[in-house]
Amino acid sequence: MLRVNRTVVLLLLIACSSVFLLFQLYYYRKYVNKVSLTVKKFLALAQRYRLPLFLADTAALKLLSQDALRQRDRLVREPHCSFLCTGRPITSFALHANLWKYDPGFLLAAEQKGFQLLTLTGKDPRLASLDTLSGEEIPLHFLLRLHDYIIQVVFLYERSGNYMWFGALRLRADTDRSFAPFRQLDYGRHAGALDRQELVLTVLDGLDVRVPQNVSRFLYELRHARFLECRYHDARNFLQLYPEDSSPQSLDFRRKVKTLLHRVAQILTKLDIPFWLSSGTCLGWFRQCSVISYSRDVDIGIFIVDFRSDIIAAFRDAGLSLKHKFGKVEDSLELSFLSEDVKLDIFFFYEDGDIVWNGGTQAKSGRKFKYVFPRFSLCWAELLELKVRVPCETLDYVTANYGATWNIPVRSWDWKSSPSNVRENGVWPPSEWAELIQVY
Amino acid sequence: METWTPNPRAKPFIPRQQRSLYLTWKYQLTNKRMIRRLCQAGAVLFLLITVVVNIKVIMDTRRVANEDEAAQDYEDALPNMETPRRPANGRKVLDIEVYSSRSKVYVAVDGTTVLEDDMREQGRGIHVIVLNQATGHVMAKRIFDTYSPHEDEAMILFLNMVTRGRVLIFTIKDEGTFHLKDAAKNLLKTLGSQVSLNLSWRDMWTLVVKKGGQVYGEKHAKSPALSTWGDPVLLKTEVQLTASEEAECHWADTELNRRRKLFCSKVEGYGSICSCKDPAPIEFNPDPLINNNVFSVPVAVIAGNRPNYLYRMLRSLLSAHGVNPQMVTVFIDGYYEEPMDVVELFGLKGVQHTPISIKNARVSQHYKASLTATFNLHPEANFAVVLEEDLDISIDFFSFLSQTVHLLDEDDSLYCISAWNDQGYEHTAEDPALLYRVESMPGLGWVLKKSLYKDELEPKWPTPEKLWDWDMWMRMPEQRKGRECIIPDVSRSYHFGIIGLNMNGYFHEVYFKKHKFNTVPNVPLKSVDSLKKDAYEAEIQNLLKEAEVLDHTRNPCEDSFLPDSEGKTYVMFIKMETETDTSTWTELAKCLHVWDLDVRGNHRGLWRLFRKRNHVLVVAVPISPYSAAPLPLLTNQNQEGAGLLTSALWTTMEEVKLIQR
Repeated sequence: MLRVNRTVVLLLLIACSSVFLLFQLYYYRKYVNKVSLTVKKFLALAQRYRLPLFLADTAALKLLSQDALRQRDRLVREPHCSFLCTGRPITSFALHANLWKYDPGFLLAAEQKGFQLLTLTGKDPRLASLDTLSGEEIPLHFLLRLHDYIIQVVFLYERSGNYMWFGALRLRADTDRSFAPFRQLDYGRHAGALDRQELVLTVLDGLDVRVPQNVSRFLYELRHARFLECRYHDARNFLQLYPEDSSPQSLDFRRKVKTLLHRVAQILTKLDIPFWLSSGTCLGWFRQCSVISYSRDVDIGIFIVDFRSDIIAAFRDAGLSLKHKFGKVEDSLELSFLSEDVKLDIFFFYEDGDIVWNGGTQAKSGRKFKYVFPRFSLCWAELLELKVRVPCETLDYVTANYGATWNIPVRSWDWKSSPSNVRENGVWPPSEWAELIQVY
Repeated sequence: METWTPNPRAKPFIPRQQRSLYLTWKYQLTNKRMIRRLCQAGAVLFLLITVVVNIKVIMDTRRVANEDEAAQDYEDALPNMETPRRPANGRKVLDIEVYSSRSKVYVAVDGTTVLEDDMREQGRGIHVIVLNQATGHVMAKRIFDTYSPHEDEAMILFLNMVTRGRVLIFTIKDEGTFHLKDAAKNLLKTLGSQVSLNLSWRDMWTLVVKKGGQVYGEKHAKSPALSTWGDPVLLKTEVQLTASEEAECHWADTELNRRRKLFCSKVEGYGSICSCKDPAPIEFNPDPLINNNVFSVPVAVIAGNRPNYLYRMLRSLLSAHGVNPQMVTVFIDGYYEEPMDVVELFGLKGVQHTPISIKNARVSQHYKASLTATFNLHPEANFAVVLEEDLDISIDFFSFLSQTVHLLDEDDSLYCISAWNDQGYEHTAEDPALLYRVESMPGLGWVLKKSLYKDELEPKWPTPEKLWDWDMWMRMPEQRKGRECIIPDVSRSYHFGIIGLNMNGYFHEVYFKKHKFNTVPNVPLKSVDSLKKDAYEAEIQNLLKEAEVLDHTRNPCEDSFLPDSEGKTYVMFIKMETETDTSTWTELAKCLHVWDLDVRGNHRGLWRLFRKRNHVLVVAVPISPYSAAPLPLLTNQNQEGAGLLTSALWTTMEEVKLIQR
């Protein structure tokens, strides 16, 4: 009797869970339909209002990238929605703001189609400068919601450093916090900078969409896209106290630095070596959004793991002459080049536990120095119309290097004693000097 | 014999290790109990899986929900700065105070001072304030210096433009009647003034009135003697506010009319734009250009606080063929509301700039900020069109630029393309298809190349403490470096500004009013490529070859200096020993009634202009390289009578002959 009961219960349970599973399957099908319907509806609208869109959804693009495509052959997925149904309730698209004449008609039409809208605006970063200009806020993100499915449209604005910028998504006090799962959005946690994308038109799940031509490149860029705007407000205050030197010499210096930096960026981008502004050049960006005219050189940092032996040749080919080479790849490597009469210092950074350091060498005595920084990640910034990396934790970096009084100009600077993060690091053995201290 | 009977109940012996898996399976299958066990285990496993899956789903959903709550990263860092709106209280009455005296005027509405002027030597005349009769907001503030001539006409114009029903407040500072003619006084009378006809020298006067309605109050203090002013007067009165519906028009509900409505509720003095019955258009839809090369060139309109000028300027700009409103940005120097209202009325992009420095340096800094921002806003642009708020823009302005803009790319000896010919007056400009090269930088509607700005001008732009004019600075040899600008014979812009930093009514009347302005659409320009450096030289040589030398014995200031011909080319010579020896040209410019304040509009010591429909080349001798140009032989002429002008300044026929050798 008891046994029979147990069987019946079990059978009942099985039946229930089967029904439940069926329901889930049905729900999934419905979800699939919902996704493709929502996206389809949106794309139709976008086409009607000529939105210059491309698919910029990380999850969907991941499915499109090369390795994923190879794997897919074995995996049979839902045939109607194999790319756009990523399991997340969001699909993101990017919009070239410069190519689209803002048309409020689009939003009206979307509303009529049943979409709920959230438009997020922000200050126009292109007006941010040492001058105080203010204009109307520009749209940064559209969020369109239909049946709890979100379509994010992120606006890409072209900036003068030849890159596309997108803004951080910030909610006002009166916006509905439950409008979308904001944490899951691909775009909006920080402002970002991307290169201009080559696009190709393709058919995904029966829908015509444009996607970045090099998907994996795009995804890589997106992971490292965080952008920092220069702190113009503070820079203005600084320049009020210490006005910019406008003598012909410093104008000339600034022009040379600009040329040099653009050339360096070109060379290192070609070699695919990430670099960032370091020391005085970083301070110049951070403190006054420009170049410190009395600094007389340009400093950049490169992680030693990114070192490639053809760096020197590449710089030489571009017309920069090697001035000196200190240290070795294993320890305290430092390269200096000369362009016109401006010196370019390349410091290689070594990671060591929770610190990062770079080395210095005094040529005549063979003494070694170590400059210690807290760990940092890299962000994009703009300097002299160039998109260039800086440490994201710029304040920590600058403070480590220049102490708490970094915002007071110091004209007499001794690289061996002035930095607040310098440490004595022994002496190179004289037998190795010829190899480790090369001055040209 | 021992027999062994196997135990029938014993299991047959099969060594466990040797039993194949298949057999095990088969054996177990045969065992019903095992099947049941297996099914049970399967079911439990299945259940477990479903449970796990569901728990996961629930967890996921929970996490999403949590994330929503924890989305602080996305909080706007700045607190909402919006000031709490004042509750619309039931008050329907405005308290108004108006004060008029020799040295100070003020107007307070409900205790808020909306006008206060106690600066010395400023703000003389009649101050007029227009209030919205429904909200009490100030919609316009004007001063008419009716001590000076013609200002009363401007006041009449303004008062006529104000919509009926608005509240008008008048007050005099210092003196406001010397040139207040009867027409203006009569208008004030029809508005409801009792004393306007008796207003006289140094009287003090205040008036609060509803246009086309009741008088709320008027006070007047007569001046007792010529040398003294009337006693100060203070008028306190109350104005009944009307319902807002009465103050608004009922236009069709369109995007355009929404902008119009907003504008008209805020400001006054723009005439028919706010007319209820037949409002003037705010969208113009001019014809597009075929092959528009400047469609995506940004247009920067540099503006200050002259909203009426800006309004007139933008109207002409947006009516020009081929305009692309998307590319227009208006840069306002200061946080003035009314210019911004005008910009928004036309649906354009406006940018406000915190003023830096004073006077000329302020304008110069504003230019720099605006140009920098223009190229930041349009990083893909290689050029920018720079306009000012006191210019009318010709209907073929963009057509003119579209035909010429490629020259900036192709000819490094060019500095700019300008729509303005400094010497192009009604009587000296003739041919809208003709272009010149000039060594000066005329400005007033011009195209700037990005590389010139970014590489040369921006880095060394005069700093705020240098009180320089930006245009004078741009004309300096250090900046211009011998480069030239392309200009049309007939200007494509018209400078209408009378009030301005370097401008007054007299100056405008003499130098700008009679400037020729092209009104013909789509003028095809003549041989644009011959404006390039070398081609232009050849062109000039050809012109000189065909040119007839004018009779230098006659007075060049007189009409008879030129023969009564039409469409011919003449050449004349003036003396100019060095770059700085400009006295002869200035003398000539004065009598030709062209720009004579400095040397403008020349190309290597050559001026080109029209007189009596003939093209006249003026060559400076000996500084111009064209002094040595081959010229047609002169017929024998009498040189004795030469010199109604001082002969020292004038190139004599003798010298003209010398030049020919």
